[in-house]
Amino acid sequence: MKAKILIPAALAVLAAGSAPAQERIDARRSTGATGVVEIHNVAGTVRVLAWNRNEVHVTGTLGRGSDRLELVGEGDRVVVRVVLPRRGHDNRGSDIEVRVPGRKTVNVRTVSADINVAGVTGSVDVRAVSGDVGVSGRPRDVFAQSRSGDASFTGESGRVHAESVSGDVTVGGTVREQVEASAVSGDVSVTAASGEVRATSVSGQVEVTSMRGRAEVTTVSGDVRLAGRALHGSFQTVSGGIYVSGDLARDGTTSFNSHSGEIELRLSSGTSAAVDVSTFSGGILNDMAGARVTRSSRREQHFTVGRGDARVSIRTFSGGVKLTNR
Amino acid sequence: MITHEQAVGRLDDFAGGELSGRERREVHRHLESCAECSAEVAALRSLLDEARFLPREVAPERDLWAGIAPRLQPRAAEMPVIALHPRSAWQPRRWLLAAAATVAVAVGSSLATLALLRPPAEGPITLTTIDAAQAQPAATSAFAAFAPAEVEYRRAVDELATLLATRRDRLAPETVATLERSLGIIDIAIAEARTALEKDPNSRELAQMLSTVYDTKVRMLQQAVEL
Repeated sequence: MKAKILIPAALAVLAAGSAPAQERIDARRSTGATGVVEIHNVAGTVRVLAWNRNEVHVTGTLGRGSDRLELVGEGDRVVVRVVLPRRGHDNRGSDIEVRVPGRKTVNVRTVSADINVAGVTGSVDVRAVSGDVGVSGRPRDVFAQSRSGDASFTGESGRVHAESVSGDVTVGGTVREQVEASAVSGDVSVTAASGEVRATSVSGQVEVTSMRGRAEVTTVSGDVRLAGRALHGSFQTVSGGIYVSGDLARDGTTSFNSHSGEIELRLSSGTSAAVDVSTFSGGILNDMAGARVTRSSRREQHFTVGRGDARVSIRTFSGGVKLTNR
Repeated sequence: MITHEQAVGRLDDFAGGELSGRERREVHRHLESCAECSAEVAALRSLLDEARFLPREVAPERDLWAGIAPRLQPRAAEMPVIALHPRSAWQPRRWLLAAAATVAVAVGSSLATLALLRPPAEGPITLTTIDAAQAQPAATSAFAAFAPAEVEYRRAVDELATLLATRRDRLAPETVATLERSLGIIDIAIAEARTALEKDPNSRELAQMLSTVYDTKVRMLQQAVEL
């Protein structure tokens, strides 16, 4: 009986002993200024930096148990891959740094390796299973995805899509056209000034600040926190609260819906809006200066402040509604 | 030895047993050294196994889309949707979506569900809140006006939930727990709003609130299915 236990243990020791040790990497390949660089590394880290040479340069450390680094290409397409042995389970992570021509499109795929891409001006598409993914600089557009790691972007881009299942998602800087940010249990924070924001989380908090375009935010139980100078859009939660601080966009249409969470709006004194509040069993507290109430009951209130430019709808089932000035 | 990209292009056929002997051996050799492709094949085989136990074909009771479309507006009608880097652009996942759609059809899907399953490249379809009061003549109570929409909401929810169940084992336990907890919160909200609407059937506001919660449920399920 003991032999049956000892034999696999002995084999495991032998296998570990025979695994290749760590190895320094330094590989180069000429390429065009544009095209695609694809990078694969299961575990460890991947760091991508832009430079002004028409060359891909890979440095770093090949993890113990890895077979080799593959650096191949055809035309303007280059593939960097940490190749694992056909058999072997003692694979330690490989840490690689890849310098690429700045205008290249960069695609990175990992399992547990963290990904960091900086300075690229082409499109960036990074996906990990459990690693964190981060992009910075001025990429044309960004797709950043992790299942259990964090996904983040900071910089300037045309469009950004960032998502995670259980990690946090953050988007900062300036995004000219659209931000899409989503999580299931993680928090979502969009601080980027953006033309349009779509943000969702199931149980995490969603925060959107620096709003200058329309936003659409949905959660189930997470709170929604908004700030900006031109708030407008659709904000919806089931049991989370909605907390707003800022100015409403003139001529914008905005709806706030929470089933059981509270809704609190702290608007600037110069607000110009026509506001409809409706609740089934929550209370309504309106402390806004200069509010001209046209209809009021236990369940609803309609009022105008300023010239009534922005159209605002606030609905709750049982959550309280509070309106004040900043 | 085939390249990773060549292998990716053959994974569908490999999992489905449609490759020739030589091609099958090539993919098999690649799988021995590629965890990424191995995981894809395992996921595909699992889905195909599940699909095998479903009826070959169950015709939808009727074409729901004609009725549902005017009220469940695709986002495209509301604002431009910019699909970024569809999954299939680099790492093909069409097989997954196709197989998922097959599963949905097999259990009695409608075009509405197929629309919900549309891959990101074709533009994510989301449901805007139904304005129940506007959808029916004023003489009808808000509760009665909402009833047809509720049937379709429930059908969409059932189909998405069925689809999600087929993918449940691919999600982390904590993610499943979060989704189930959240569905519980939504169901309580639906029950509360519905009970209130039954008691006050002329309340347009309650119909709107109920619709909003259903809408959230469909969105959440849609997001979960796409994980």
